[in-house]
Amino acid sequence: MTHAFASLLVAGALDTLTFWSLSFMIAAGLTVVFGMLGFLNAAHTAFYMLAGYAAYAIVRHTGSFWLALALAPVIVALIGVAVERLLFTRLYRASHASQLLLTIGLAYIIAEGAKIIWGDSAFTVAPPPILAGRFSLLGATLPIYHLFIISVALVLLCVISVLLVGTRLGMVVRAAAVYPEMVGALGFKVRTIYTLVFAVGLFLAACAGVVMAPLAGVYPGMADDALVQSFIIVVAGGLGSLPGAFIVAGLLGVVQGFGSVFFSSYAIFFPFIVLGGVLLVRPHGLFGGRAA
Amino acid sequence: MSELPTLHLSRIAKSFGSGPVLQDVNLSLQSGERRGLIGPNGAGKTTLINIITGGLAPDSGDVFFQGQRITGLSPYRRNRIGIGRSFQILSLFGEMTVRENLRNALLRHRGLHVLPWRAAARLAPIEDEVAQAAELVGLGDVLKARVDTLPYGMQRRLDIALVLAQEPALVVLDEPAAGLSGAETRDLIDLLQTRLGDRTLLLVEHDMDVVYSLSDRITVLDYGRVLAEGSPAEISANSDVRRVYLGEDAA
Repeated sequence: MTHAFASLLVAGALDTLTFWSLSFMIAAGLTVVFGMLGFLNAAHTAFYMLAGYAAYAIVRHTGSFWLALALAPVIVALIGVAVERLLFTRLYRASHASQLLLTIGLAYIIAEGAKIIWGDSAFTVAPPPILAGRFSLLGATLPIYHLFIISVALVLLCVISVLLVGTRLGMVVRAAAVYPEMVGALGFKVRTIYTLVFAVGLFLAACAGVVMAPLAGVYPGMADDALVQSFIIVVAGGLGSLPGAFIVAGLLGVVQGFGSVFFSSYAIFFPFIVLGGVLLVRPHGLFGGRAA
Repeated sequence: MSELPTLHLSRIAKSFGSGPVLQDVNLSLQSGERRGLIGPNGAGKTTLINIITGGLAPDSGDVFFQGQRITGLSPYRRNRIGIGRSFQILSLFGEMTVRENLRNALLRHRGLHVLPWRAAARLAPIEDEVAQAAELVGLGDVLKARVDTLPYGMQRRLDIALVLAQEPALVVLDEPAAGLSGAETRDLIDLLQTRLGDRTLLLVEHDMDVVYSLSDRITVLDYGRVLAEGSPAEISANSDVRRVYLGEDAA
């Protein structure tokens, strides 16, 4: 009995970490872009979905998941940069309502475009053989692929943290997050910094889209599912707060990971319970000091 | 070249939703001149600064810097041609150290930004300059301190160091003495008197000691128009200025 319980705990912990990794990778860009630019991008997860489809297409044509992981996020980030330059920059100073109108419209266009190209059905993407197996831990047999997702998230977070803290560019980006006017007055082109931040946010979400493909498949509704999750994370974490998003993504990971093990039929409600709970105690979210 | 004013504003007008903020403002600063810009709250001083430094576009009129029309240039380009500014609200990077703040300023100025991926710690060519810039404003001992742990007066001096480190031809300061104690204000005056050198200064300030101590000439704005312009002695004797700005009843 205790043995079975231990294996349930291990399985729950692995699910928790996997969910945490994925949802933070998706939500990080959304909250950072909102924090720095005041821009609410409802099309954020449409790019995540696009990365999933791109991964599917690349795997289908080349058979290489690794190629998909290397290429799809870059392609999606580049498309995102084009869209940001052409459309989003015009609305950085506009109301959130205008921003939502534009980005929700864009999300529909991307979603319908994906349906036109790839149809309504869901696709599965096979993980590379080396990641396809299972491993045993404390009596539980668990998918290796989950460990892979967690490692991808960890590596990306470490790389980005090192770049932010250790490089000249990171120094300027951090400064621009605090006082963009001052950074401009010191002679830096703040617009370029914004585009870069935007691209990195989409790159992260796109990486999530690629690694998600073998886990849950690629399907037309994946952008909407992820958008609801991400908004919950961003709002409960405090609009614009990266640490807040990290913590709430972890909380959601716990309720998803263990909730789906122990109370699976109610799992769909758990994120909303977390959101409600956090906002009851802290109406502006965990790290939301400033009124948005 | 020397005949061209460092800064020349020609017939600047600007309105916001509530009405005109600046009307027909002309202003000319000769090279090396130190100009005070005063006026009651809401006179349009900060709006004028933002038009000079590029944060705002005027509705009409033009801005010339060293003879070159710069009306449409963005703030970062104006910085690169030699306009440095501070902000009314202290805009330092609080979670960074004094050194990192100065690095940000010197990095851009020295063009080292072309290697953005290089480690921030390996900035040997500018480390001496960073130290010098800090020394210049008396912050040589606190290079490693996080800025938001420093007292306000020191933060203000760092703010000025960031501007001066880039060696701008024109220094624009927006209320640098706001919030400073009497002693800190005297330090600030000393600092500017000794460190500005031959740079042109445009100083917006409410503290009249600071304005009188630093300015060669003073321009008075009132309701978005230039009310008076002259030497400190002329301005302090001007009855219009006394009535409108200094709050005295000249009747």
